[in-house]
Amino acid sequence: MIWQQLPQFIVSGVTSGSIYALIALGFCIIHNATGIVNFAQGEFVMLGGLTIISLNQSFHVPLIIAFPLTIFFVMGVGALLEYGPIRHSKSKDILILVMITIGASIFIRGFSPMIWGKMARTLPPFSGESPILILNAAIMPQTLWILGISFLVLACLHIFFLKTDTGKAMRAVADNRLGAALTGINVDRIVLLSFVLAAALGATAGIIITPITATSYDSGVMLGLKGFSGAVLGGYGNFIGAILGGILLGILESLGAGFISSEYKDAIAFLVLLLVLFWKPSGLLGKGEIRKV
Amino acid sequence: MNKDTNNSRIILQAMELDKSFGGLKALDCITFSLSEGRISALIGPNGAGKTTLLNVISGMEAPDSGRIFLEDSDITGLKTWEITKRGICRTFQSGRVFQNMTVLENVLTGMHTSANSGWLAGMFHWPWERKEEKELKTKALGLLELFSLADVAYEPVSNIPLILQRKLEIARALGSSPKLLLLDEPVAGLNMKETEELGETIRNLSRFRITILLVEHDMNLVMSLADWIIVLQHGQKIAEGKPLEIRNNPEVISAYLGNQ
Amino acid sequence: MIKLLSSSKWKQLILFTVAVLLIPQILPSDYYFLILNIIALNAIVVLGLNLLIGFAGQISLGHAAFYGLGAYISGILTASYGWPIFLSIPVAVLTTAIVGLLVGIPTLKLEGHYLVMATLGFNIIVSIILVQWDAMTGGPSGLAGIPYLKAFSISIDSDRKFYYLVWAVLGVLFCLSLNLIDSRVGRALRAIGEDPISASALGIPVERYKVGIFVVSALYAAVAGSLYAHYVTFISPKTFDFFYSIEVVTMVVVGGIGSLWSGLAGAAILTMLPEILEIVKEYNVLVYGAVLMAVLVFFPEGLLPGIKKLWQKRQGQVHE
Repeated sequence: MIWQQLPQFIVSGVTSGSIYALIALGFCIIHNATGIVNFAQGEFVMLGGLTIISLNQSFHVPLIIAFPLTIFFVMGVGALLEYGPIRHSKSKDILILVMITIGASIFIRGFSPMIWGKMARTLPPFSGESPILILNAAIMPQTLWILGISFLVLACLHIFFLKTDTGKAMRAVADNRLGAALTGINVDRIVLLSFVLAAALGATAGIIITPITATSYDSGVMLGLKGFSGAVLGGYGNFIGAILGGILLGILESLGAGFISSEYKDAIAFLVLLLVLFWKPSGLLGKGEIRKV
Repeated sequence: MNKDTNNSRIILQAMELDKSFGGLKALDCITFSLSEGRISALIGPNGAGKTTLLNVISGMEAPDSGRIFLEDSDITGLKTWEITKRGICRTFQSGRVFQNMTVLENVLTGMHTSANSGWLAGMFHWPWERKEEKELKTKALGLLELFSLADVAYEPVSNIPLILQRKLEIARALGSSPKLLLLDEPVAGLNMKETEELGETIRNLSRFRITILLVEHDMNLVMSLADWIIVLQHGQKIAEGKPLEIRNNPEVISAYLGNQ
Repeated sequence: MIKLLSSSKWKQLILFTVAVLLIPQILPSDYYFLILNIIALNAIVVLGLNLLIGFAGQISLGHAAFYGLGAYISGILTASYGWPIFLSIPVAVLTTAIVGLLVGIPTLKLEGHYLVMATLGFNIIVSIILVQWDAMTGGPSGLAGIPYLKAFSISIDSDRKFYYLVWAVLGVLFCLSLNLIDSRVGRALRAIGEDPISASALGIPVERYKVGIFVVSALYAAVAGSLYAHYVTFISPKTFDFFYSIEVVTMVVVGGIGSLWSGLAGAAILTMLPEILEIVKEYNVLVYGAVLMAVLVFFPEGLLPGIKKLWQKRQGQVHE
């Protein structure tokens, strides 16, 4: 019966969900430093996927080296985005800055076909394709890679934000920008860092997902959107919320596809998202709107 | 109709208002009434609950329990705009006039509840809509005249000095022809001369037969303006009375001294 | 007589009308009419959106859905059910407005990024339905056989004829919008856009007005959408995905937020830009993104006001 497939659905939901969570975290980090939605976040994911494919397939760089190289490259792109248009924008209005990131994402989407063409490309799984059977679910080794790497990244982030001075400074800026600036924190540097960090998260998501879904120049759009949805679902700017929201969205999608209709899976996921927002207008873990009267 | 001891009509009656924010009692069983045509002042140390009380009366926050009556109708729990429509209008602590509008437009916006034109009328400018707009404009200019703002009627608000912006905010609030006007620290940020000037403006409002509830830190201003003073501390009403009584009330003195 | 406009607006509008009537006389080929028509359709959507974003301060990334609903409902009613156009268009516009109302009521309680997400989510849901509900919409391959518009036995079947119609519709909606801004409702909307709390303290029912302007802007989009359907006679879901929503918001911002004339300029410039960029061939998307960023970085107040300011500065220097 279809219920026996439940574990399978959950596993695939958590897998794509953890990808969404990584992307959602990128959205949150930039939001907390600047207050904007970075619509180029999805392009970081796409760049991560396509870069590692090129390094590994065309230049035969072993994955273990290609992985960090790719991340450094995309971090560079993130830094350029902040250091260029965002920093030099004459207006600091949120809407203008958000529109600039939209411009940037169009630019990157226009740029990447020149290097990679318009065809979707793919990467072989990191380690084989023979599934492991647990309960009723057949788990591909790549799934384990995705879960493992996501978990590792989250752990590193956790340590970074709690233990390092830079991480603490970033939290201080998120908490109170002006206050942080007054205590001598270099806010410009933190903003730059937030783009670099978000780019790294996006790239990681892009790298680990390419073996299961081929990547093309325009595949960043939908992934970025899912990440944004995850972040909103959890409560925009809240890290735990982003992880929760991302994974929940993944599970929703996979259950919707499995039990209702695969054609409408995205529609179902977004519908649930809307209903959640109508019920809790600032996401699952978001703080209630503090109205300044 | 409710009357107070001096046989003037009661405009606002608050009964046993409670409001807590996460365990902290901002308002604790507050009961008071405001008589028509009077200037009443609400004073108390920082954090006494003055702004919360103003927010509760103007419908920006709902009380946990208790009731508020405007004249004879219960307005507890109504939305802010409904309360304004029934006759209570407020100004804000930091001054919140619309910076992107002209002075005149601000007052016209304040007259929202005194007109009726809707969406279609606005789009098609029916003759009666034009007529209503014209009447509104005449009334608004008259109001600006009273506040000596007529000269700057067509200036963008961002071009006029702070003191005029404060006057404008009061004029705008009067646009809704309120029975009760709530003023939240109207002179905050003004210098002494300006404070005096605005005080004079507020005193002159009595010609509208309008009831005023004033929240203010500036004691000189309160003593010179108010007919009646209500004192809050830690969310409780600790005294009320005429300015002279309040000035000599030992509990009020200790509340202020103890806090400084 | 109904006085449609205050005298101060007359000059600009007469200029506008003269331009609209003169342009066809000097255009060398019909290809340009196609672009001008698309500009007008976009401008109608931008007009409504500008009222929503620029005046009431609410953002929507979902207006492609209303554009699409207007197009599909009128298209389906005429092509599949044989309705006459003079009925199908009003029904399409009204139905879309009702959808706008139903979506707007819960959605406009949200703020900031949550509002962006909710409108975006709505757009995506509509897009998916347009693609998946083959039986009704024709699915991904689209809906064909939509009849041309017909007015008094004149069939609007050429780019040139449609030009006069669509620009006239734009002109009328433009006047109505200018009027609206300058009215009691318009002031309330601007108050909400600047400071919703102050607005409510003045007796303005903020939520009701937010939903109201959302419905009006959905209505404009539906008008444009249904005209579009009967102009191109073939529609497919791709036209109405959320990229279009982003595009029209971009037109509002690039033109200049909060001025209807600037919005018109934004629609014209960003509709023409891809056509102009045909000369850079495969680099067009890249250059489009770069131009967009450059404009936003250097002219955040919008292209029209920005250029005006620059020009005044130049003038000032000349006089010195």
